[in-house]
Amino acid sequence: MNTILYILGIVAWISWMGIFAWLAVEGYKKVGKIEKVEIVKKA
Amino acid sequence: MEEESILLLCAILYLVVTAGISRYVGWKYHPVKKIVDYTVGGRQVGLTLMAATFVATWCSSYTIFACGETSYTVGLSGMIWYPVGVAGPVLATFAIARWVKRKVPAGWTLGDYVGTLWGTRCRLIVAGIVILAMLFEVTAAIFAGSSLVHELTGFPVILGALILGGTFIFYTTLGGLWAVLFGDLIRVCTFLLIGLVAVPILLSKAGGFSVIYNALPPNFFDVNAWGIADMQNFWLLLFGYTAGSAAVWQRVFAARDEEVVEKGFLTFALGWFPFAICGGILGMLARVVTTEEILPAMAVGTTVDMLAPFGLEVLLLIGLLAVITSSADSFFNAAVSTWVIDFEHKTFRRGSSDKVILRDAKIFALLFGAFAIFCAGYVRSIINLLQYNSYIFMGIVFVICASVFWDKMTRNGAFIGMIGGLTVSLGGYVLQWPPLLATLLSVGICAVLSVGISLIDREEMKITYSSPPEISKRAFSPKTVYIMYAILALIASYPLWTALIWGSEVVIAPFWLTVLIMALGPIGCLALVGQLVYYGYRDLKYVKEGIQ
Repeated sequence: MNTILYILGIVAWISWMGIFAWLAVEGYKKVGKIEKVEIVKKA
Repeated sequence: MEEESILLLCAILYLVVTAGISRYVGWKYHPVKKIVDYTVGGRQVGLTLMAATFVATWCSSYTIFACGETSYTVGLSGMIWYPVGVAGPVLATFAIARWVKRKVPAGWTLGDYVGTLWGTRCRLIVAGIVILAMLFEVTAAIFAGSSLVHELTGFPVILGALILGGTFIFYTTLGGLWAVLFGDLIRVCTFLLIGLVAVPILLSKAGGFSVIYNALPPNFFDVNAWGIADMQNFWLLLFGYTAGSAAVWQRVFAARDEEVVEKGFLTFALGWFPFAICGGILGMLARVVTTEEILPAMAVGTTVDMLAPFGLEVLLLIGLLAVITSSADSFFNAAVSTWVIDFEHKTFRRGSSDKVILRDAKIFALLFGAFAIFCAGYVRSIINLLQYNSYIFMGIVFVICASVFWDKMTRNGAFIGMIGGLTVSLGGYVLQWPPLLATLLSVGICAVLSVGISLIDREEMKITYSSPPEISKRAFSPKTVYIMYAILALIASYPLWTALIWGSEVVIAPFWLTVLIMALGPIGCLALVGQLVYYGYRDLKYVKEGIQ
């Protein structure tokens, strides 16, 4: 039981850091300056 | 002259002289002419001041006393987990900061960013929360500083509050962000002295590392005694607190470019650890110098009382005052900037000249400061104020993160999500729910409401971006960023993988490892000095030659 919890713990921690690492690197490459914000009605 | 009077005189002298220098340097090199100078330093802040202000703002009296308290109670593991616990949320916020600086290079405040996306309702909610939260922060800091002076000298708390509050209100009100930044640099240098001078002296007075290692029971050196399992809520709260901090966002917008944000954040994530370890050492020494059971919160004070010669007591007092005022002035300035931008410049006084708004800023600053000093006279517990602050941020942190990473959130979704999150987080605080439950519920409710309403909303957001620029050569390479996160992930999960490999949760650190961990306090201080000097060199080069 403890081993499973430990492995889950590692996975959770690495995923949490991994998501932010991905956002800071891969996501960041596609980010540009906000030029315009519009509100549009859904069709 | 009695020792108490000399201590008091030194404290007052330190506060007045540093306030004078902060104001003078700010006035001489960066006079405030426009709102942009006052609130975001003209968006021209360089590496040295950015790195120093991040460390100074985030190191508070809590850093020293809470780390000392934990080390006194649980031993070596307390010293490890505070720095790791702070570095995690800061590195997570790094991703947010990178995006925000790219998306809104000419931003102002957290409220302004939210308002740009979702309109005045959301702007005013966030700005209101920021001002309230900053009021608690400033009140808690004034109370902590004046109580410290009262304990050591018997000086009345309210008079201490007036002097302490009066000094940083003076230079922050007149000089805006630049005065705060110069003040923070002076204060970082002051509390680096504690790590480089006071802690080694106290360690040697206690008999050195081997005396400590032999005097305390082995379980005190169990690196897993306290840590990852105890820190879940701390991590979540601190992430909300960091990602939602108006002072952090203000600094991101004030940076002259993306490189300053990145390098500032690296120092931000690492700069806390030397001070946390130094606080931990002072706390642990209390176990050695007295066999009596003392209140853990008094551990640092006990070590200083029993070991420090008078000259060192003076240094420690001004160091602690530096730690307290450097956080207080940043939060104070963040509150004033939020008022100026979100309530005046962008909402109720649109079109007014900079001169009029700057005059209003100074009036608001004086009123806000006076009210904070008044409140400090009535505070009974700092912890309650700070807890409340953390909870309030948890109510809105999901929406703030979504504003950066998810473009589909609508005005109604953000507004209702924030109201729902705040209601639950405050309800949890008032009804005293278990902390982790209250935190998770407030984030969860905020997430469900904001995403759900956004998806069924009749209106949708259409955000147009310019094409992404080339990533500057001075920016961190993808490899560097991944390595940074991987190192932290590896360190923070050590209790898990060591338990898996060694088959035991109890890992007693040998003598050499204990020495290494404790030595990281003063060594880290030295590294921080080196980093600030290098950044100073880079900034001078930038100013003289315009080198990118």
